Amino acid sequence: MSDRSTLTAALEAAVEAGDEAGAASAASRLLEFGAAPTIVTGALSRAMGRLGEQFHRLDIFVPDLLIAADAFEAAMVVVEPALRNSPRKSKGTIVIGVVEGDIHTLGKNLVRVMLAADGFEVYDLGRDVKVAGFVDAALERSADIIAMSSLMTTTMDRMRDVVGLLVSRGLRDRVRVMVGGAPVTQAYADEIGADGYGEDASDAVAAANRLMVMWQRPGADHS
Amino acid sequence: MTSRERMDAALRGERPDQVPIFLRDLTLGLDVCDYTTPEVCAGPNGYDADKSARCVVETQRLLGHDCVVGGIHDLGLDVERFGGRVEFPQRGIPFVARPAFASVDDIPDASDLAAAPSGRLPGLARSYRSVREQLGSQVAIAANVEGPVTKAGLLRGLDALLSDMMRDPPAARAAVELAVELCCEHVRVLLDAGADFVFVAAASDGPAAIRPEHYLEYTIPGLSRIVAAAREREAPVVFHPHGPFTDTRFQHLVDAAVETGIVGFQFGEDTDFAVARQCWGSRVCVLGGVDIPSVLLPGPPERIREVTRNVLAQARIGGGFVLMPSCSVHRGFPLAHLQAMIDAARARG
Repeated sequence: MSDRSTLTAALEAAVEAGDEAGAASAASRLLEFGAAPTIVTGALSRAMGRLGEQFHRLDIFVPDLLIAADAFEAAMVVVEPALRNSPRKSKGTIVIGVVEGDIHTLGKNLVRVMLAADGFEVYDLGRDVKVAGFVDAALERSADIIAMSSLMTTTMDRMRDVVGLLVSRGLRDRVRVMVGGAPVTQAYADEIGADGYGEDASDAVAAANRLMVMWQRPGADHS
Repeated sequence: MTSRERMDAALRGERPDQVPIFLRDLTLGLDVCDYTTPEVCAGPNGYDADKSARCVVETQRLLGHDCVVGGIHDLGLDVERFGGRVEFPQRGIPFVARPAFASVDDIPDASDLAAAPSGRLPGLARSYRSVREQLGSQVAIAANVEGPVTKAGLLRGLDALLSDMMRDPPAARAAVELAVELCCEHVRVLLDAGADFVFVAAASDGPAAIRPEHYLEYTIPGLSRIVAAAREREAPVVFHPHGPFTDTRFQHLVDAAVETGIVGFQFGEDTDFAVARQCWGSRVCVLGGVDIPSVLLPGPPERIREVTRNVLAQARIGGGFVLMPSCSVHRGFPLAHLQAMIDAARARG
């Protein structure tokens, strides 16, 4: 096995073990060996994808994903300067946040990391995001998708309000909406007119990919 | 039988004259009485016990359920005591805006609890007393108390606590230790204020949030101490963690909880209720039945009635059973949907 493939395997293993220092070191050494930044992001994507599948099967749990996400982000800090010099092809742009009145960020953070690992450009609006905040950010970033999370039945209807605001501003055909969170179901997503629903972090990534395949925004160019 | 006798019989594993109904309505009464959230939970004089009690009593009189929580309950009661910040949206439910322990160094020793301010807990206890006075001995009152990891997660921030469990176990143990002391304090205060039993609400204690080994390391010992604190006042304990507990990989986690001496286990979402009744129905009272996200919230009422009738048909198997929504209900919840569940249960008997 070449040094590069050894380091790639080490990077994936470090992410899966939640080893921040190991992930950063392996990413750094890969770049030193002349690997393209996309080699590093590809390894990160594979590791996070496997973790997402394991989480979906409940072979691993939230704490495992949390520390893996930290390791992923430690490696991304290393690779981001190189990425700026040779930008990778983005799958699409997503603004993500937790709806107004809700501060449960854990699930949203995991989805953000998984989407970034899968090649999306993700802008995190944080928690307690006002209805107009999602729409304004989507416009500002020319986002393809607004992704919203709510953990409470009392706040989940803000998702409906975001869809309504997109309609009233005449923007509904310019951006897709996906939703998730503990009380949110596919039936609820359908009811409020959302385009996608993610049952968990890996499902959210699959939903985002489906939306990008099924829908090409007028004037969008992701080539 | 009175509602209280009905609930008591079910928790003892017996079959009362009717299936008892417990909504665990934590903030729903704010809508019934048309109060804003801050005017009850964070008024100029702190927690308004009179308005809180009125919310509970009026809601029970409106819907006729058998068991109530004795006050408007929010998750920030202890967070504020240790310097965290809670926000009270006008028509929303209170939420923790800033956890108390941003740093591991902020976590006090559990033995220092006596020195901490009592916060809004005395106001909540006054609400329980008032509810007991107004409802008399007819209706059962549950002391709603958070579970060990759930309470610790509110104080430390759940993502920080879960990271501590993986990277800094002594810090996680310190947070959970303090949380359990607080849980036991709530148990004593709320039972003394008139509650009949303890309901341990534990959304973050289970494989929906933590590893099974963490559940066994942190949750179960904490639950044992909560059960012991309740036993000092001869009160039973019901446990409600979140997770797919009827999955064969996680059934041992229910067994571990049952071995602590709890009398009831509420199964929430992602569980097979029939399997739960079959596996544990002869050992503990099984609570739950109507799923909130897929049934009770979206409705319509006729579907809720149909699902409730099916749940009650399954409930004939085994011993004690209490009909509940799959988790707590809050302000903003459609009252007509809860009424549909209750009507279907009462019609069935």
